[in-house]
Amino acid sequence: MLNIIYCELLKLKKSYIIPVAVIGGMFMSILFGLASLVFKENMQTFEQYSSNLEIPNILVLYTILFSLIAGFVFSREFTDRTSSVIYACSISRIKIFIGKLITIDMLISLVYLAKVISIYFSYYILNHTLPESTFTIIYLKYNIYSLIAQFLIIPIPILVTNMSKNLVLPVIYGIVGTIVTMIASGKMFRINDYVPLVAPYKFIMKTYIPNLIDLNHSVISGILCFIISMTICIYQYSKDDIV
Amino acid sequence: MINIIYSEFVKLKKSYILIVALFSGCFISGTIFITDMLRQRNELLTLTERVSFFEGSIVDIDRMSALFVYSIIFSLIAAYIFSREYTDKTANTLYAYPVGRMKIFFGKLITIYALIVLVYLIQILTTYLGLYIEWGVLPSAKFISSDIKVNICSILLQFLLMPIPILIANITRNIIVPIVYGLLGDVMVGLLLGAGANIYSQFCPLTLPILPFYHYHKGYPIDIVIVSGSAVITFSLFMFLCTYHYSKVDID
Repeated sequence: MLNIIYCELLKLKKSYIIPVAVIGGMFMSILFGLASLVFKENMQTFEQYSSNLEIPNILVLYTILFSLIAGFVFSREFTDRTSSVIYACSISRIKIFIGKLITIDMLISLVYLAKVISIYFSYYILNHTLPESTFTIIYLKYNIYSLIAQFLIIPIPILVTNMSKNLVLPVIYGIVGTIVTMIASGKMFRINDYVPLVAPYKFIMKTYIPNLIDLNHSVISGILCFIISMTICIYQYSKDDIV
Repeated sequence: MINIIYSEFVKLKKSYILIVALFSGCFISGTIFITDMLRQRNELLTLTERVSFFEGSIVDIDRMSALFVYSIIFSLIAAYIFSREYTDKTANTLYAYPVGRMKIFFGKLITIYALIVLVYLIQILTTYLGLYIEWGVLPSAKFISSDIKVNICSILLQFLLMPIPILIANITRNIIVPIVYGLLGDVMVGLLLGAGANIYSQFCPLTLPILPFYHYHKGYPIDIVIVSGSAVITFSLFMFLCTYHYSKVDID
């Protein structure tokens, strides 16, 4: 199992995906840091700064970025014509699938890590202070919950990739998911709480709005989404023909 | 030249790009249509109120599609058309044709432009069709003609930005980095124009295709010198880099 994960990480070394993950994590803090420097708005608290930064991050950037990562890790076997090599290894397909899933989860964690470090670093450069430790603990706790919620919804783009064997459709799924997340993060419809794509956003917002109470819906819908889409994914992946 | 463009279109037939163009044209108008239908505020409205809702929805659809969808979709299309030669290993075949590389480049560029026009056409058609089904009236002819004019302006400004993803796709020979460019550009434009089209955001050339909607529908002022200057500089610089790189690059 460890060998498979190591081999997946080795395959990533030649591609652009690791710089893309690091840049995707740091892009928003660089942009906001530059904006604060230009407009001399550096008299803001850490809560304001980080919430201004997290909302566009999680609503616009991350759905597409993560479906791009998931799409690349799975579809490169088809576009580089290496699928006949990897399925000829004497390892069951489910193990290969789980190895790829763990690789994607590691890349998502890398994006979150880059985000947290760059937020603290840019805030320290701008204001020469750091937030107090109690807020930091809450912030890190809800970031980890949000990361786990991202893990729960990642099988959907994997399924789209395996069905289409291409990188184009996962990106389209990412755009659709972004618009769905933006609509469902409001309060327009009653069904909004049950959309699993909003779960990472809800967990991040719990840091800034502690009275947000409907996290139960997010947890239940996220876990249901994981179980259902994972079942379909493993079924499709183990029954699929090699081309 | 016509043969090259025809062969590019034939190559697209096997891929998902035509479906993607169709989908991205009707996605935002469909979303607005469905959310408006679910809200159910159609009853007991006078004719003028319906027309004003209609016009407001058109402005929203134009602006939201240009802000959220088109930047990513068009860089995806451009990157696919240029990078498929490398990922499908057909570059050797293509460059062995007795046709100059410049001709191949412009054939691909015209294909991308045709797809952009197709996306805008589908968007205008589905917008008017969906909103007519929903509200049952049409806005005045003056509004419709000005809306079509603004869309044509936006198409021409989209043409000017296309050399940037093409250059990125040709350098990296991959479809990932142009998509990330489209995504990050999208986020940046969304942040710049989130508060309105003020004078600082007009310096960024990526905001160019969305500025006509702000100018004609919302009445924001435009600095003609800055806008035309950034348009001309962006297009000529990136077009020069693109053609230079494309004609000098090695085949592998």
